[in-house]
Amino acid sequence: MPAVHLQQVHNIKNMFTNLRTEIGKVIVGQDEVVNQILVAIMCDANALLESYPGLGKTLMIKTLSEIMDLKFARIQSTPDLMPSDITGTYILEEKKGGEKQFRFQQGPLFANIVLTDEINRATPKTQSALLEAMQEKQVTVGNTTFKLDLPFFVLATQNPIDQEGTYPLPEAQTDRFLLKIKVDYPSEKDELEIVDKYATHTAPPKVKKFMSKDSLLNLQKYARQVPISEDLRKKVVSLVNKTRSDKDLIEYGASPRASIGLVLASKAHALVNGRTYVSMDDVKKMSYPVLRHRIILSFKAEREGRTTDDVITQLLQKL
Amino acid sequence: MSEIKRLFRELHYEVFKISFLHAVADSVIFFMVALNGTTLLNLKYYFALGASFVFLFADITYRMKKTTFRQIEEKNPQIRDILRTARDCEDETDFMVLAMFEELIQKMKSVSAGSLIDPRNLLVKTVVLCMLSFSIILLASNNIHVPKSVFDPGTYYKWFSNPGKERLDFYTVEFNESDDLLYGDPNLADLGNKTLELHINPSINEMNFDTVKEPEEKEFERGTFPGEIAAVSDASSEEKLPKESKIAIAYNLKLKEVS
Repeated sequence: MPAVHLQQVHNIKNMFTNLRTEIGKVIVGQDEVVNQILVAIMCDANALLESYPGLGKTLMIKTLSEIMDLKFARIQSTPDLMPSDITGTYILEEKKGGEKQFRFQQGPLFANIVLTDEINRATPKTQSALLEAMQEKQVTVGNTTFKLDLPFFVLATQNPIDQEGTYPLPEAQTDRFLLKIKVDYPSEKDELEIVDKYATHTAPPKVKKFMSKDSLLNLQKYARQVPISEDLRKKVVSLVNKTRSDKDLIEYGASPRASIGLVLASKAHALVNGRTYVSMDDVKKMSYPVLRHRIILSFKAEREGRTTDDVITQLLQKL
Repeated sequence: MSEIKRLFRELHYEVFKISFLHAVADSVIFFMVALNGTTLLNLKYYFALGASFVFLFADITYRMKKTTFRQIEEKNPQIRDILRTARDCEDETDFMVLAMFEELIQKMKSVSAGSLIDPRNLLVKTVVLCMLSFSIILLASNNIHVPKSVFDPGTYYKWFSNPGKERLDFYTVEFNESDDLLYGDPNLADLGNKTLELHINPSINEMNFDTVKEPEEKEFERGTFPGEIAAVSDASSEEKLPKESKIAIAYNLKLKEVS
């Protein structure tokens, strides 16, 4: 029997390999971050990036949008940022005959990939406007609702150092981000390469387009079709349940949305790595970005100096 | 998808083959053990044979239930996740599921039934078989068996009813059927008021020495030896004894024993 379907999956794998190579022309290192952003995109979901400034988040996401032929927009969140600044607003326009009318001027949310820098600096009112766009893929201005162009992702960043004058994201909002991706400092070797690359040339290297919107939507469909065994599904549910039952280390556990997210992220991780099925390794790798922003550690765990990742590791060992 | 169904059927067949192989090995061991038992108990070997067939059937059934895909996964970790997933999605026809089936079919080419056989297990079974064979030969050649009296409650009853007097003796002298001739017909040998008629044929004992002639003298001549001298066998004296004589012998022996 000719392996037609398997051949297509191999083509998908090759495409992702080429995509990573192309990103590698611009971004040095950060392979895992790129991988997790691709997972979020394949799941048609939003991601929260936590990193220190100057680690190339904006460049990374802009490069991705160029490779995928997607419209990119960036919002720099500040306390005086209004919802209309991101959704768009009606402006009064005068026609040739002197007639005046309101015309809707689209905001930066009308893009495919929206990078919201330092989201916790925006006011809760603006965060709510973003929440609707993230969840419903639509924007409401006045009495009119505008559907956003698909695919649509919000990749928001948080600065873990500076907490002065911030509005921490409420739990309900963080839960809507499928992944919380940690962007760490590059290694010394990678940093040297970054210095060589960007201290010599003024503009970043050009990248090729690899995907169209349609092919991306198809890939999102395939990601949901990746089969997962019942055994692994049970393990995922058991892991999420453990975050709720282990009161010794965890104050508040993850919701069932986390179970859905972990299964979906594991499927997408398998597809991005060119596999036709989900393995336990996928579940383990994705459990960190899926769960780390959904659990709140107990006082005891914090006093002991444990991080959410430490607790997730401990829960995974109990599986 | 017919290919994946066929693949699972083949996998089931492999499981059956392995189960059958193990069950046969176990049954042979069981037969050897049972044969040792029947030899010791002086029973016919069909008991061991029959029990072994029942064991074989039961063992195959048990192993077929016990040998699941999980064991195949354990022996072949490279296909563990995909095999488990394929089993759960056997009836689905999505693009990715079909791709996974194709991948599984390719990966299954690297899996052989041999990987399911544990060589250490087989070695242990072979050693056990050799030891059992040796013990059977030992028992049979030395005619070792447990006396029937061990299983006779009467033996123990006598011992318990007369503590200190009766010897707990499992070994009793048993005579074969042919030995009964020694005593003759037990009914006739039973002493009582019965009249025993003895008819003894005196022809053998009746000898008239007057009629015995002196041996004739004969001269052997040179060259007149008989060409061939052959002894003609005669019936043994015991066979010639009439039935009444045997009865008489039995009677006398019995009397001797009683006195």
